[in-house]
Amino acid sequence: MSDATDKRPGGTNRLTRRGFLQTGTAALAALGTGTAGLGAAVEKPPNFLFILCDQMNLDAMSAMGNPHVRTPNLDRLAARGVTFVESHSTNPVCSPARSSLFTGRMPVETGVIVNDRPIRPGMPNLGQWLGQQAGYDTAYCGKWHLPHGYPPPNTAGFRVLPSGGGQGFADDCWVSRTCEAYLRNRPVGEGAPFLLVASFMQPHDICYWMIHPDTLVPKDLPMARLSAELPALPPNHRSRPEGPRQVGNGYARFTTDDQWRYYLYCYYRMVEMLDSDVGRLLDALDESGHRDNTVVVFTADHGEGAGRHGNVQKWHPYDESMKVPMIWAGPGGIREGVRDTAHLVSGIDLMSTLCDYANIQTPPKARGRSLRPLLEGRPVAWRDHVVAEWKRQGRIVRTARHKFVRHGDDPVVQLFDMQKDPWEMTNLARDQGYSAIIQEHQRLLADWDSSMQVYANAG
Amino acid sequence: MPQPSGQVTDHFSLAHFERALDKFSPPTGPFDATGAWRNTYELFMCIGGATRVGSLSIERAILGGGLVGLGVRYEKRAAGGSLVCRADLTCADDVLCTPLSWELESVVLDAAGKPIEDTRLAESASVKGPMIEVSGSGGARRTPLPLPFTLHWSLFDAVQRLGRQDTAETRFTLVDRLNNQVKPGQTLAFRKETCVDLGGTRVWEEERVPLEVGAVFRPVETREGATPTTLWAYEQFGQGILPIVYWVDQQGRLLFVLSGLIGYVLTPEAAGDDRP
Repeated sequence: MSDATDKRPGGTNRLTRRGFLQTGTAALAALGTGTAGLGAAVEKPPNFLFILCDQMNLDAMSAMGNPHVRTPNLDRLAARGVTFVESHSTNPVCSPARSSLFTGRMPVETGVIVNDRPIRPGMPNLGQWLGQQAGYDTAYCGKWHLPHGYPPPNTAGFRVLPSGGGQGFADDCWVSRTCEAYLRNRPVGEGAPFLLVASFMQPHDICYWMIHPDTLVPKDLPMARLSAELPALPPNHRSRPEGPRQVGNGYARFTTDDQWRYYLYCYYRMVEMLDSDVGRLLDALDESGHRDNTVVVFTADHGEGAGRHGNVQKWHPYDESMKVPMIWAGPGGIREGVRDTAHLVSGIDLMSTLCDYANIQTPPKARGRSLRPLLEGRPVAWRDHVVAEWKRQGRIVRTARHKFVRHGDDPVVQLFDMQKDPWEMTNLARDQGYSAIIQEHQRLLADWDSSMQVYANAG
Repeated sequence: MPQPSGQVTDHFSLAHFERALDKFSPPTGPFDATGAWRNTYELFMCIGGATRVGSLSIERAILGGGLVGLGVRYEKRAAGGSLVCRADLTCADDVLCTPLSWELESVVLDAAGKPIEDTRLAESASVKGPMIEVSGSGGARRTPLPLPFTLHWSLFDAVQRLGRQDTAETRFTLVDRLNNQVKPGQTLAFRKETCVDLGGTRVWEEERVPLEVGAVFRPVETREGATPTTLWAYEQFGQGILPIVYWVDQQGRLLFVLSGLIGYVLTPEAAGDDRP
């Protein structure tokens, strides 16, 4: 850790924006931040539009160079903001990852280490915190899954806008239409700032293509008409590096390459459906006049196997499952058209960043860091690793060059050189030449684990 | 030529929606796809079972001067409330039932059926050349689009009038769900003619399978009182949509629209009766 102001594993900011402003210019210089953000402290804080989707790969966007999907709306959001390429889920499962996004804490701390659990009692969520500390109007529409799939009307911290309760294909258009109406009907510049969470289900529907392969991915598909459209299989489709037993795979029951390719074809169409609903929100933001004072963040809870390592769905420690899109755009100095490939960011950073823009402290023990300096292009010492969880006892530590994976006491671990082997096809853990690197990553993990305030009931 | 009568699982889309189609009885009587009609569909979500989650009603009227009107009523239901949409479209009486203008209003109702006012949207749209102009709640916009184009709901009309002899593709741009989001690269084509058993009662019988020594009996599903029905399938592929299969009967009446997890199934109500 190279940040002199931050000694905790993962690089949590000790000094919040409010505290930073109180400490004066000495702290300003020490933090290496410019004065550009200072004026914002006395202005009305911006609105927030938080667009969350479910099970989207980092690279499932045409803006990321993927030739198999067309996402004009996500692309235009990326063009007007900063896209983080080293963006990691805290745990590649819905509820755990969401618990981090909405608290800034790791799943072992929120108590949500598996699906369908509530956030630990007494731990404020994003809506509660922004509402109580900064007077935000907070509204939520769409999938929640903490623990209920869709939020009940009395969900703490949010006014819940009804939004269906089914799958993405059926209900995402409802979510986008409701959020569009919220934006268009809300007067610009009047009243409290708002936090609107538009939480889409897509492209999560792809789970059912694995569950019902006989009827959704049959062998007698009309390939002749689709053959030119079917994506190629990923280069690591047949790669099965040695790993902890829990890494697993084999959930898919496809028997032909064409079934796999059709599965991918459908997945990318679901991403395009999502893109269309995002477009509706961006149009509403533009045309309603809210755009000039609204910070937009787009991310996902986790990725999707997408045939990589022969996997479908999530849960895996591989990048297809762990890495998620994270795009920030908005007023007040957020750079445009920037793709940040250098900084390791995590779902826990969302809370800290929004608190920074709202000029309030983060909740106690929030683990994330504000991305604001990165968004605005100001120099800042940054963390040198991120940690993620997987499958209850699994841990991942990702540094700039390497990725280390373990699960509980399983003696088999994984080490990948992410520069030479971005598709994670060669496990270096048995190579004696990497023993020092493994030890260093184990030490980072041990430090991290010892800093966690594990919720006793997490199980 | 029609194939011999077969199970409803003849095509993968029918197989996935088998439970939604379980009690479906094909409508009888004449139907003129080029005239005035009203079709009402139940909206099913199939993820194992078949759950009714909404409805769609489309009423076609002849306006004269080469124009038709489509009145659309859509409702999506859930435990916490429902989304209701009402749209009135004026379309060209052409292959794609190309929309020329429309009015759309939607609102979310709470669990008690009361409108939530800040979820209400009303907009008017007109097509001028390769451009949609939309005005209404919260501003106006102009969106260019590659021609030809149509809307999802217009296709419920268009497929009833498409040819059944060849598999030539109709290419177009889709404006999805009246949200002004443009999805180019769509193709729609006739794919197959088939005959399936619809309606009746599901019955399980045992089929004797002789072995080298003795025999075993295995359950076989059949339908009693089913109606062998000839169907035509049209398939739509394109950007931003899962493959959609439209199933049309011999009268040209659209019975099912099946795509991914969502299926529209024609209800007995109205059932495509001719309207004056």
